Amino acid sequence: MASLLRDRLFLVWALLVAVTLLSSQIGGTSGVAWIGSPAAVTVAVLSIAFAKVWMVMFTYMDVRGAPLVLRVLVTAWIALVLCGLLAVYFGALG
Amino acid sequence: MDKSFHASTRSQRFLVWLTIVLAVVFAISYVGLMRFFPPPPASLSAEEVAPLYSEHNIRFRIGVIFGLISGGFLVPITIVISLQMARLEKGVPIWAILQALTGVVGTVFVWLPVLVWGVASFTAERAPELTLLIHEFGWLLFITPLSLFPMQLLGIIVVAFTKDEPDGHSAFPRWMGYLTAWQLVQSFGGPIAVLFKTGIFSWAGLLPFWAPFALFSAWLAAICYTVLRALRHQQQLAATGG
Amino acid sequence: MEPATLSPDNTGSLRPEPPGGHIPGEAGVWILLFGEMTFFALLFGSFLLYRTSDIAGFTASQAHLSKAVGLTNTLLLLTSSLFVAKAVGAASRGDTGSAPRLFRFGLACAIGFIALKGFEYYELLERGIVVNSHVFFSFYFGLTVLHLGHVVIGSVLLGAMSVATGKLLTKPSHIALIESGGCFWHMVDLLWIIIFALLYLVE
Repeated sequence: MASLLRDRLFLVWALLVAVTLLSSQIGGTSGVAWIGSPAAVTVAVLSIAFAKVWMVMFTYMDVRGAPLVLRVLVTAWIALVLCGLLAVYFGALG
Repeated sequence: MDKSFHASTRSQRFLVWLTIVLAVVFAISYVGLMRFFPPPPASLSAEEVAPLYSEHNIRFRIGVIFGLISGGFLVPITIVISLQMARLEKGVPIWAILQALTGVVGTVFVWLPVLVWGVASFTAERAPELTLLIHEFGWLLFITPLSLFPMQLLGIIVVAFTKDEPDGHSAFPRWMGYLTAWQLVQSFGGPIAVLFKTGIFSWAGLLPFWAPFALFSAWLAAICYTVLRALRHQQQLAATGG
Repeated sequence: MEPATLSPDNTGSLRPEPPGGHIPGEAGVWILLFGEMTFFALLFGSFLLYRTSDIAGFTASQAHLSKAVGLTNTLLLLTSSLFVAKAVGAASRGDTGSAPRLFRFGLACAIGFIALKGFEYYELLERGIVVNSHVFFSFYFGLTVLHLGHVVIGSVLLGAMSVATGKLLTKPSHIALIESGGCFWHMVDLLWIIIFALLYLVE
């Protein structure tokens, strides 16, 4: 059990690193040519970032084993902030 | 338990209420009379700053008078917090001493800016550049000094996490330790205002003003509540045990 | 007082597992975590809001940042988070040998982050880029200095935890504190993940 848990943390780390490398390829001016539009880059980059945040909170912080209230709260917070930031990016407040 | 602490619970409750009353007076003079809420932008020119003090000059100066009377509102609660900390510490109450001394010296940064703004309003018809200088001095004095505040909070955090009293009876339940830790982490935004004249990092912005203002108000209300709750319990103990 | 917690249970943890699930750290630390994360979310929102009014200026300013430096710092914090997660696990199993060592590995990554950030600041200042060069750099310096302050506080915590876990922690409240400290460090990591995306990658 304990060694499985240790493996899980390491696997999540490897996944986080891979996703970070991917998003750093997508992001920036170089990524626009590859992906298409700046807006697509931003949506991709921010979605990946908040997916990473979810992984960090659920595995490293161990929210995975927390009561349902906290799991829902964490996931809702992440979804809310991501949607809020994208709304601001697309000029919902301007 | 030491009998001398029982004898002083009534005085301690009086001091907490003194803090609450003085804080209300300070808030009224700051918001209502000096009208510095929200703060004037840090980017104002001399010509824009001068009218802040020359228009409604007498109202502003009355605000200064009440600000100077009530500006020490943190001293009574600081002393009570330290008495409550000393109860829970073993041996020489070093964290209580640190909390009391840094808290008492730190209160200077509440009433001294009021006096500096008072100087700005005292001869409001002077050259605008001079008023700008003293205005900026007052604001940076109010928002940016940090050195003492984290030390004061550190003592409270240590006691909250090391005490041997159940949370329900202590002035420092564990959640208060975390709330105070948040306050400590957050307080580092203040000095950043030295770098910025506009935007959310300037002295009128989210980081140095609004966030610390909101959190500090909540923290002060919370610690007044937990201290009063703890004092009530100690009074009951004294009544039944004595 | 609580003899059940003195010996590891069947999951190898010194803390009893409540049936409904176990709150990481303890309930109180989530005041700090959600509070601080929401505060940063407001800062992130302000950044994107200011950005909408001068997209060309923000894009041109972003080109002055080195994506490689930001990427390296992200990897450093991700790695330190892995060490800290493992260290907290070791501490709660009562492994007084590896917990302090893992905390020190995490601290080493944190110091690497601070050094690289210092180098990045030095490089920008050398090229004459300061806080008021452009609103983008106001946010860049404001956000990263604030975050760096969190990294420094977190590093002090990691050092303290590496000392504290050197001896066996038997009180559940002490293990809760270690878990809370670990959660604070993971929060520092995840805030940087978002800052990296916003400052270096958003187009």
